[in-house]
Amino acid sequence: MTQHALPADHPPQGTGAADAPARPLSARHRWLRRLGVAVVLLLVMYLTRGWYLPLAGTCLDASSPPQRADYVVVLGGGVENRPFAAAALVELGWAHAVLIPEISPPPEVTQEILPPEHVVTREILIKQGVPPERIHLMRGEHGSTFDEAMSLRAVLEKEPDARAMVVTDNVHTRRARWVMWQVMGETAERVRFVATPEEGFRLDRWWKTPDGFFYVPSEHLKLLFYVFRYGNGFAWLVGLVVVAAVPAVALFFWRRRRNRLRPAVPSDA
Amino acid sequence: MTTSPQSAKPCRLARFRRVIWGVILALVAVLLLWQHAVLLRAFARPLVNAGKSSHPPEAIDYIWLRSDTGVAPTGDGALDAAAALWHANPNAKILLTQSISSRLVEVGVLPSYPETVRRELGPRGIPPEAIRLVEAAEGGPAFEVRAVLDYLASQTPPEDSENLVHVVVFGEQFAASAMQCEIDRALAESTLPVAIHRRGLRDRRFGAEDWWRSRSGVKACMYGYLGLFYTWTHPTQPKLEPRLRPGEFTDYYRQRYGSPDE
Repeated sequence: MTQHALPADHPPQGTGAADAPARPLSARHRWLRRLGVAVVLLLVMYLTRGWYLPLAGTCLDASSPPQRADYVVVLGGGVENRPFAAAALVELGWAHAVLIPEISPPPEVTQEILPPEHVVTREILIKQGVPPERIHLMRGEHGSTFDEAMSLRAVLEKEPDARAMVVTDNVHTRRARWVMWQVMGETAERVRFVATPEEGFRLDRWWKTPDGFFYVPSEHLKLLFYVFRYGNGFAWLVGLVVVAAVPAVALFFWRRRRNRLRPAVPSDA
Repeated sequence: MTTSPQSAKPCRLARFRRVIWGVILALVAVLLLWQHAVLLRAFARPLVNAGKSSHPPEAIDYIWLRSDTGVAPTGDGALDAAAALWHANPNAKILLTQSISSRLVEVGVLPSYPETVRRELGPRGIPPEAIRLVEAAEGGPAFEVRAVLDYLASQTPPEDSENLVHVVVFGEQFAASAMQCEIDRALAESTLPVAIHRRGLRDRRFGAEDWWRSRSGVKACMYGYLGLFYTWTHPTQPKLEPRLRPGEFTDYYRQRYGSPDE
């Protein structure tokens, strides 16, 4: 057996902690450490909830004050409040006419219990004082905000100088604005988003009411769906990078840790 | 003899193990894709919660039709289902509750919810006197269940206080578990001998067996889980705050933004 000469500045063998092989943590200690980290994370999340929870709601509000426009567009799915808001804006002089999308009928309409939504919307507008000749129907089976954006684009392309205001719930404005920009591009500069009055919940306290709990998380999920479904290649690329980066980083740290914990193996040179 | 830490290169055995695991994972992924329907149906099962009533129809005392919109009953085909059940139990009363009062009714665009139900159930052979509106605070099923229990308590004479009263409530299939949670909470607070049987109605466009195939189905599943999670985590429900009346929208926008001519 030969012994290699060590460098002069190397500490003698067997005299210091530098020579002791690294002891891996026992399984119990590893689980305790993980539990500790999880508890700390949950505590941090709980203590900072007053910051991120309201932000999760308020970030969905992309509305702005009204601007004089040719049309106010009543997006479907909010017949209890959007037509009333549109009628008010017309009455105050903010818009001249109203555009209503024809909505794909839900079961209670196909069962003929209720009239179609665009018929109800038109009736509300007339009862609220909007002259019937100023109410225009955008024909087609509009089943989503994307469909409505396509129809509005067609209207604005026919009238290059026209401006429009879209009336919808404040929680919906972020997604509506995003899809309008996706569909219309620069033409979307002629579209303004005006929020209906807050009802059922407040965006900065959305988690305290059933409606807020429904709408805020679902709007985030729908927005994510829209980004992937209707978004352009950049959105896809960013998404793929994020999806791939998380497991890659996790794998990197896992392998590094595994290699550090591996016991030293004697080697004969 | 010198010792040195082992190098990071995996040995052959570890590489082989990795390949085997990779093959197993790939096979599992193929199986999941091939049998994704099984998994997706299982995903929706907690929402649906086997909504069929176990009680024979002859013993039903009340048929309860809810409305989330204040204009039409909740649940696709609720009126047909209620009518069929009533004809099997002609002595049953039909109770109506609604979560909100609709502005559409207030401005006269649509008839009220009880008027709509009476109009629809009349041709189905149900007399108007069998239909009762139960007033409930606005805010959702939690208030409606309690209002129904209060109504039943007022209708039950003391000599019948031992007889179990059977109520069937119709609703959406994917809201069944959340509704059951509210029913259980309300019954736990009540001493009334009432059994409320929940019947989730399948939407004609999708069901628990194929919800992922339509946008409406995906939305219903998402809303179902959100509603269920909210119900679990919020034992008490807030009442709905007063909303703007139909004629108050103009003042609202005038106060905030004025008019363009100002």
